[in-house]
Amino acid sequence: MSISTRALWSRRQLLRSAGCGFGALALDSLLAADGKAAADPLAPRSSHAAGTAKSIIFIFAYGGPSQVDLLDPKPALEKWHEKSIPVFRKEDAFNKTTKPTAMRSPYRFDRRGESGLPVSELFPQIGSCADDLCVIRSLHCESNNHAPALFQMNTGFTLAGRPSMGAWATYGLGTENDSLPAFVVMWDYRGGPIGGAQNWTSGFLPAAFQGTSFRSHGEPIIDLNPPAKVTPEQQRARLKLLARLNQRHLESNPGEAELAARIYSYELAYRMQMAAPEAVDVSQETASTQRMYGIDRPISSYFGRQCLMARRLVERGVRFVQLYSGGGDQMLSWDAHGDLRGNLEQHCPEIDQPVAGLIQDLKRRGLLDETLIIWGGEFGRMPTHQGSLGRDHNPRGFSMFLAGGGVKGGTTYGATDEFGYAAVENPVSIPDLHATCLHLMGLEHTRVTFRHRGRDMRLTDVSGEVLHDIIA
Amino acid sequence: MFSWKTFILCATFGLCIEVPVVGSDTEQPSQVQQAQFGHLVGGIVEHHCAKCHGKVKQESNLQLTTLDGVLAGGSSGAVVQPGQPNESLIMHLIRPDGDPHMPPEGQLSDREIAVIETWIRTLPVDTQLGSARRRISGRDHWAFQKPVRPAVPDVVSSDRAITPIDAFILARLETDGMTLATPATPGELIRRAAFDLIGLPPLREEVQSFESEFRRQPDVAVQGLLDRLLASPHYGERWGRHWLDLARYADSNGFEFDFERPHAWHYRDWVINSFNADKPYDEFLAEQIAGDEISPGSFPARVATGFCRNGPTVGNQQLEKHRWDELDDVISTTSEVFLGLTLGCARCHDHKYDPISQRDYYSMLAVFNSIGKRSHFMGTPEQNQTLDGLKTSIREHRQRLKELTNQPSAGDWVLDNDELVQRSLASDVRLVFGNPEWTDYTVEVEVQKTDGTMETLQYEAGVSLMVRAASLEQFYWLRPGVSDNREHGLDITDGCGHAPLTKKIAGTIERGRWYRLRVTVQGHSIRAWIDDQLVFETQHARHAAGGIGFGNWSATSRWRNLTVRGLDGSLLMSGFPDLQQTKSPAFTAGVETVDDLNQQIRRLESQVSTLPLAMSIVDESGTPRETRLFLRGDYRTPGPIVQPAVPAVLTQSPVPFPAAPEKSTSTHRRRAFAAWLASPDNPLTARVMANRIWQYHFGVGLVDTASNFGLRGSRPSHRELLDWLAVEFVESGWGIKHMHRLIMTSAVYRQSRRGIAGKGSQPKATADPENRLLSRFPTRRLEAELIRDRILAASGSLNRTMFGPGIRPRIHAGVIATSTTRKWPTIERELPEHWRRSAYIFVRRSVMMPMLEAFDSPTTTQSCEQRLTTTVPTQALQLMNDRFTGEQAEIMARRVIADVGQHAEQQIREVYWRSLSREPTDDELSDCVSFLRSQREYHAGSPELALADLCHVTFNLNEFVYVD
Repeated sequence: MSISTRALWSRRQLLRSAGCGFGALALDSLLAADGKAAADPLAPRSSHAAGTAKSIIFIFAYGGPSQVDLLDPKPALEKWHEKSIPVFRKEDAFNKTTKPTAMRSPYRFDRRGESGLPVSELFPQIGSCADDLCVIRSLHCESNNHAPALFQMNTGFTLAGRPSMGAWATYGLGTENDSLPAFVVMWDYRGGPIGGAQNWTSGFLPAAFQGTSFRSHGEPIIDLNPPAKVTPEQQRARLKLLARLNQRHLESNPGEAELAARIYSYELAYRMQMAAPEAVDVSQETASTQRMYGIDRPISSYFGRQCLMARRLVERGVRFVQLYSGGGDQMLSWDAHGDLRGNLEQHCPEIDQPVAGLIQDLKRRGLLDETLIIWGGEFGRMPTHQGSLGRDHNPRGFSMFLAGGGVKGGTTYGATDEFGYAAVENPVSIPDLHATCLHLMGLEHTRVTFRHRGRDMRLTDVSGEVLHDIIA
Repeated sequence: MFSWKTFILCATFGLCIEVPVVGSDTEQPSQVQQAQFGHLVGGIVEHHCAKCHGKVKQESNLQLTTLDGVLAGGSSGAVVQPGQPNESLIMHLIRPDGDPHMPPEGQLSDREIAVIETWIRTLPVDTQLGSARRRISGRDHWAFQKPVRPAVPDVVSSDRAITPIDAFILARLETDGMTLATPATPGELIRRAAFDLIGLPPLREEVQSFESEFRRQPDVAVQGLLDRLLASPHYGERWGRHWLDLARYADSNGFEFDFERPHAWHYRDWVINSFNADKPYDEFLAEQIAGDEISPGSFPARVATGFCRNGPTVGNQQLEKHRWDELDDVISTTSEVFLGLTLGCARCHDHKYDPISQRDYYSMLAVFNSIGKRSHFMGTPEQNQTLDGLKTSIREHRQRLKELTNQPSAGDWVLDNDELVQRSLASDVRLVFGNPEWTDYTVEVEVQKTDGTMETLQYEAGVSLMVRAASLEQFYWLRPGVSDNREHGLDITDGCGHAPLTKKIAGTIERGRWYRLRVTVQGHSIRAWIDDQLVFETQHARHAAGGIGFGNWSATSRWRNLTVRGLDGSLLMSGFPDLQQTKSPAFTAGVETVDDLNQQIRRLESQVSTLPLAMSIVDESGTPRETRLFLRGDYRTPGPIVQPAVPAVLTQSPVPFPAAPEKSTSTHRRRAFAAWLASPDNPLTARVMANRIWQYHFGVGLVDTASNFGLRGSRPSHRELLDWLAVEFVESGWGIKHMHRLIMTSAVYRQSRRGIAGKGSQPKATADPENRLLSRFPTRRLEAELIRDRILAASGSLNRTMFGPGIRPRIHAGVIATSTTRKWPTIERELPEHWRRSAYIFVRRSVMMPMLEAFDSPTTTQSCEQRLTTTVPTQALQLMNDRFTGEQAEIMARRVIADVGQHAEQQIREVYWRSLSREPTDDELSDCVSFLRSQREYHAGSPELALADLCHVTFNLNEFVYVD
């Protein structure tokens, strides 16, 4: 499948033959039954195959979480502790002070669930969902620097400006709910990731596919509502006159579908004003559900709200939700250069209960099969020392986990060497991961293309192999 | 992993014809050489290579079994460099560590490798390399043929044809039984022309006088209108902005730190000035590529080379890879913008669709490979002195600032009924009270920030609540709204210094709003709430004792409802104590404040950025840097050396790159390249630019892939017209304004947007659904910048100041917070200095103006040849709800009332003229009258607000954002 601007345009042309019916909709009628217009680039589209996942929730542990302390146990590090490991290469490290000597993990791994999947003691609650997790232990990426690695994880390219996976997925599938953005991004309370909006950009795809930032407190979308001094009556009066004058203009310019489409976009915007605050209103949830997400405990209350909002959004048809854990840089994110323990013991408890709650809640509602959860960062960390207590960036081998969305639970895929340094068995590139995620949504990654600069561009560029082994 | 198979496949074309490209007249290798080859090497290649590179198959277009074939090379160019085995591609591939490795399976023995090496060494250095017999499919592609001026066709409705352009368009329409739409009204025409050329709406008087002149002498009226518009300095702002899209212009680096480029704006101004001066396009082009080589003494020419510097750059790592990526950006942008060729596709392998080889890419790299980045100071000696002086002065101010911020200065607090009010806006205002013996307690208080100093400082401070304050120098403090009001912090100040106790979190403090602060100190733990949200929790505090306090920095505040309770609930304090019992630094009037210093530093810095410092390129030496072809585009696998050249498919004979003059500090390769770009033999340059000019007038080019004229680009809708325009463009001396006049006087341009066919009255949508044949004027939306500019023009706020460092209008604090750099000032109230045209907005790659971004402004990471036009609800939210539109509507209402008074109908007419440059129709008038009547009732007592509602509606109208 490939739609170009021309194709979007043609869809609008359809309106010509259909007459200008919807343009005549008065704004007052917009609370009435849904009348979705063909002009909408976000109109739902059928997938290439029956995918299992309808939505993705990507929990981005920004900064680079440490695989050997969380998901990829390496007993050999005990033996090699403080000794130089043979696989270390100076050029892999980001920081000059990084040493070749192994640093053992200060954390115990337990075999969890029926599958016996090893999970770090830092994730006691996530560990209780072990049988739903598919841990990929052999990821590798192309940069040891945050910004390029973030861009690669999000867009497939280390350079900024390419469309993000959320934009591609939305472009491929449209949205089921036109009162909410199709692609929502929520960031950490400490701020956004490096590169900001370039991580959820639509790049050369139409702006309709760009991620929309939701704030967790107050008005979820910036400019969702008029300034406080403008009353609802005042706004309604303005919109009524606007609709009337636009209608007159449309009548004197018959057959111009873009004018009708713009009238419709105001109707959608007005609807969004109601729908967005409702969608993120977690106070509508029972106390026990809130507890499930750890909202009752200060350490996890922020991320718990994010996860619960994510569930409410995918329930309402939002296609792609990305949550950032960690904001700003250094210790504000999972970037444990100087103090591994201080870092992990801050961030893990913030997300452990919320992520586990999300998996369990989706499961009991029967939504886990159609929601793919992705957890991971832009790279991993070195199994060696940086300074005496920290770990440096590691692009050569790291772990992520997937849950739901049709993946095999209680499994691992691929492996790093005995030190957890580099992927050696079934290495998984970022394009492989992207191809698999699109596949799980019923999209063939080689067919989701957009003509730009003379080429049919795609998320996976010229590579990408679907990991069929992890699909249930 | 890369495999040899893919390497070969990359070079394979579909339908191919074999053309000897260069060197068809090279000398034949001698008999001796033939014999040597057969004797020494023949057996080895027969055994290892012939399966893929023999008589039957020639993968990568390479045959190794004959001497001719070896000397001819393949798709990656020459495989041997006579006499220089180490420079020969084949040697790179056959060694055991070859990557890629040849043959794909197996390994030549050491002896075999040594034989080949020896044979290459014995080849005379002057052996002619018959350059590869390259397969060029598509050499006959239309765009690669030099344009020739075609005859103007005859048309049936010759009465409609005003210019040759009309004849070409009509001829095509008539073959489908169509013709042009009826002419646009003079009102439509002046609005269309004004937005097209200057991007601003025409005033009432201009419209009315044009209409009356048009009725008398339409053609003369149009000529006069074009003369006026083309002479306007706003023309350069409008058309310069198109060019800035192509040039991926921005004022910052992008990537992690997104460092500012304080002098980038000189390039923006150079572009605006060039359009205003109607600089011939060949000069315009040449200066951007080689201004330093053409006019080394000219500051503007140096500035022009900023074109090669506009791309994004990584700021926090210096890797060799980045240099090649930056050069790739230059090559890709240059070839797309000037040639309409996607040469960047050939970085890793031969172009998949176009007859462009990987070698072509690296030949062009050889043109640019010697460049280095320079900040060129071209000031007078006096300016040079000024620069030094400013630098010293900034350093001194910074030092004083550092000293000052380490010193307490003064406070000024009063009790006003039950509120504690801080009146002075000094740099440090502290007040400490309560019992210094308190250890564990909860303090609750409400606070409102009443003022900040951001308008002068461009920095907004927050408020602070101290706990365990043992003295004026020792305390913990909760700091809502620190760091330019983007974060909340929990810090410790212990007499020796000041440090964050825990990570800061994103957050702002609005002025005029009450916030409830609560802090609990208990043992080693401190917890803090803002409006009952837990914002901080730490276990790392010292178990110290102390009272409480308030301490602000460059903000004023009011405090009320203070309580301090023990953890058992007992009330320790309620309300504020007598100020006599508090501690506060002595107030000293007249001292230099932090505000003053910061303000002075900003002023000095802005003076530096106005000095003639160009962000430019120069060659690092007169001796060119060696350029090699990189196998798979990877600099770690260098292949054979390449020489500068232009893409082979575009020339009949090689373009000379003469050696630089003696003692030259520059290679002069870029100059030669620029000369070729604008030479009469170049089939693309003129076509590409003529097509762009057409596109910016009609929304879509005659070729609708404006930066891709290759095989995968679109065919032109009117090939002959495009060729005619291209030839005309060159023969007119590359005059862009000349092209505007040609196009805009045509009947095609002057036709109505409503496609009423000649006889019938049906829209022609069915016959020409996409309007590629131009049976009516196309519907076009204003670009993002123009929507903002039109609002400012309508409200009367538009500040027409031109040039200089970029402006930074207000961006919602929530948007600034998404960027880790957060480098944008927090603006509470916009001032006239912010209301300049959008072309002057500072383009920060990590923080784009939300309004512009919503309306499809380019991302600036790559050249943007055409803006998308998407229609999404966030645009509606912006125009309906953002404070900018609301404030401008109120400003506009005040101006309208000042001009025409309170009469409703007159107000409406004035609003229509300002917003839409026309009279309202009777229906519209009556709609608006009844709207105003009910809004006046609603806003009882404020007719101004009622009128502002009407103004606000006009900003949202379809007609406001769609051009006539």
